[in-house]
Amino acid sequence: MRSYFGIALLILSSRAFGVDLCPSYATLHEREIIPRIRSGIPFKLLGVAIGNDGTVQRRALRVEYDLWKEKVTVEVIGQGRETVGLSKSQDHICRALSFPGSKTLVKHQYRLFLNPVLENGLERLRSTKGTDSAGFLKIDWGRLVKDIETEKILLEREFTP
Amino acid sequence: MRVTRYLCTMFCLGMSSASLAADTDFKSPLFIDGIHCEGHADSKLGEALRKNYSNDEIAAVGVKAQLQLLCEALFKEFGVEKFQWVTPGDLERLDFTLKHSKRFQSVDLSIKKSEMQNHVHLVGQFQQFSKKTHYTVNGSSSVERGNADDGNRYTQRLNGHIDFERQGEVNLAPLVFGFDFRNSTAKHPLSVETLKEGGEETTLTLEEQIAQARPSGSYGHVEMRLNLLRLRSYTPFFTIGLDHTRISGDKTFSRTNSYEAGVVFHGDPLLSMNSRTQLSILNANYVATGTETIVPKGQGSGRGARNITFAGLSGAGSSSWMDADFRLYRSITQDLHFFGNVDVLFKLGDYLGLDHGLGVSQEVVRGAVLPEHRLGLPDRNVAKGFWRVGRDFTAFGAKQSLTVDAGFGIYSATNYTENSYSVGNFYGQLAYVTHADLFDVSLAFAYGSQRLY
Repeated sequence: MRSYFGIALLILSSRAFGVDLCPSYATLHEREIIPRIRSGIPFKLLGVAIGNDGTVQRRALRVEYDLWKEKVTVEVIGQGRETVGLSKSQDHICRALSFPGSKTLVKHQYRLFLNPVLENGLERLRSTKGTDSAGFLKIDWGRLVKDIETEKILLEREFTP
Repeated sequence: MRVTRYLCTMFCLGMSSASLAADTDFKSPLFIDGIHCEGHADSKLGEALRKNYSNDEIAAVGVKAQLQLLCEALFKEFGVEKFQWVTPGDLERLDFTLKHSKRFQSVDLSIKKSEMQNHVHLVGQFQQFSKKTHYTVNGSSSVERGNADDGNRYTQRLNGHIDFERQGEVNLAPLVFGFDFRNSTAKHPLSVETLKEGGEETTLTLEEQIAQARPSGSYGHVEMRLNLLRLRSYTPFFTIGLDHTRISGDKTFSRTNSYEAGVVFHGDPLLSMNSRTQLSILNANYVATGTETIVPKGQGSGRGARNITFAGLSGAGSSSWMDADFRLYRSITQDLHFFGNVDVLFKLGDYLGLDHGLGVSQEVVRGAVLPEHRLGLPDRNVAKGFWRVGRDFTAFGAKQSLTVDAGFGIYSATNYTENSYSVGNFYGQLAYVTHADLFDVSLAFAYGSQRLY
C-alpha cells in the first residue's frame, strides 16, 4: 500500500504580487535610513507583504557603509550584494525591498522592520528563497510576522487596489 | 567567571582571534582607537564620585576618568575593547547584544573616523530607563479536603516585594522591600491513625504526638535587600530579614533575625536562555518558646535560641521552551539542615489557541529550622507534577494571563517522633496574573482532593 506519510502538506506555488515601495520610501530614507547608514554600524531591513489572498512575500537586506570610500553595500540576503554611492542608496534600497510580481494588483499589508530578530525564522527565510514551505513544515508567516521582535517598525501600510 | 563570561560572549558573537582576520564575508576590519560613552552612568554617580575629591578642578578630571573606565568596562562586558580589530559584522552583533540586553532604554552606536585609515572611535549613546518603583503582589488561597475528624486544611498566602527606583525590568533595584505572610489552619493537625502509619509505637502520649506535628499556624516575614551598583555582569547584595511564626494549638512562637549576603550573576543576553545565578551566605538567629524549641528527645522543653548559617545556591532561567528556577541552602554547621526547591515548566506550545505546558516541582526540607518551614512536617519531600493550560491576553493596557493547572502531588515526611508519613492528592489550580508598568499582581485558587498534612 502506498504510504502518503512523506507527503505532509501541500507546497504552495508562489503566487507573487507586485509591490512598489519606492513612492512611499523617500521620506523614510531621509529620516531613518541615512542617519543609520552614516553611523557606520551595519543593519538589516526586512520587508514583508501579506496579500489578502494569504500569500506572503518577504525580502531581507543587510546594509553596510564604508566611511572612507563613502559607499553603501546592500546585500539581499540569499541573493547577492551590490555597492553604490550614498546618493544612489535610496533608489537601490527601495528597489531591493520592492516585489516585482504578477500584474494583478492585490490588496495587501506591508511592514518594514528594522533589525528584526528572526532566529530560526531567518534561517528559514534564507533557505526557502520565496516559497512558503521548508521541507514538510508549512511556515505560518502571518503569525511569524506578527510575532517578529524588531528594533522598530519603520513602515506599516495597507494597500487597496 | 568573568573570563568564562567573556569567552562565552566571544563565542556567541561569533568572534575569535582567528575569525577577526579570516572573516571572508567582510573584508575591511576596523581598529578601535577609542571608546566613548554618553548617558551610560546615572547622574547621581557623578555627584557621588565628586565627593571623593577636595578640589573642584581635580574632581572634574577624576570623575571624567572614572566614568571613562566605566564606559570601557561596559563595552568590555559585551566583548569589545580599545585597541582591538573588529569587523563590521562584529559591530552589528555588538549593536544587537547591547539593544537586546535590556539594560538600557535605548542604545545608539556609531563609529567615527580616526586619523589613520580603517581606524575608528566607537561611540555609544545610552539612555537609561526612568526610575520607577515597582510593586509585585501575589495572593493565593487553597483548600485541601480532609475527613470529618481532621477537617479541611485552609491555607492563605500573601507575598511580594517593592522595588524602589527600579530602572527597567532587568536591572535590579537598589533597594527592595520583601514580605511573605502565610496562614494555615485545620481542625486537627493530623489524625492519630495517620501519624502512626508505617511508624513504630512511641512513648509519647496521643496529645504529644499530635502536638509534635503542629503544622497549623501563621508566619510572617519582612526583609530589606540592598543591591549594590551593577558594574559588571554581577551584582552584590545584602539582605536583613525578620520572621515571626506562631503555631496554633499550644500557642508557641519563634522569632528569627536573618542576614544574607551574596552575589547575583547575570546570564549572557545572547544565549538562548536568559538566566540568573545567586551565591550567598545566610545566617539565621532564632528564638523559640515552648515545644517549638528543637531539643533532643527526653531533655524537656523551654526557651531556646540558636544560630545557624547556610550556604545558598539559587538560580532561574528562561528560554523559548522552558522556565526553571531552583534554590538550595545547606547548613555549614555541625547539624545537617538543608532546604531547597526545583520548579520546571516545559513549554509545549500552542494548541487550539491555548498554551500548554508540563510542570514538575520538588521541595525538600531537612531539619526544619527556619520559620518559613515550620508550617508543615519537618524532614519532608513534596513532589508535584502538573499539566498547565493558559492564555495570554491584553486588557486595560496591561498584559494578563489566565492559567489552569491539574496535577498530582505527593507529600512524604517524618515528624519529630520519627514516624514516616506519605500522602498523595490530586489538585487543581486557577491563576490569574497581570503585568503592568508599575505593578505585577497574581491571584491563585487551588483545591486538593486530600489534605497533604
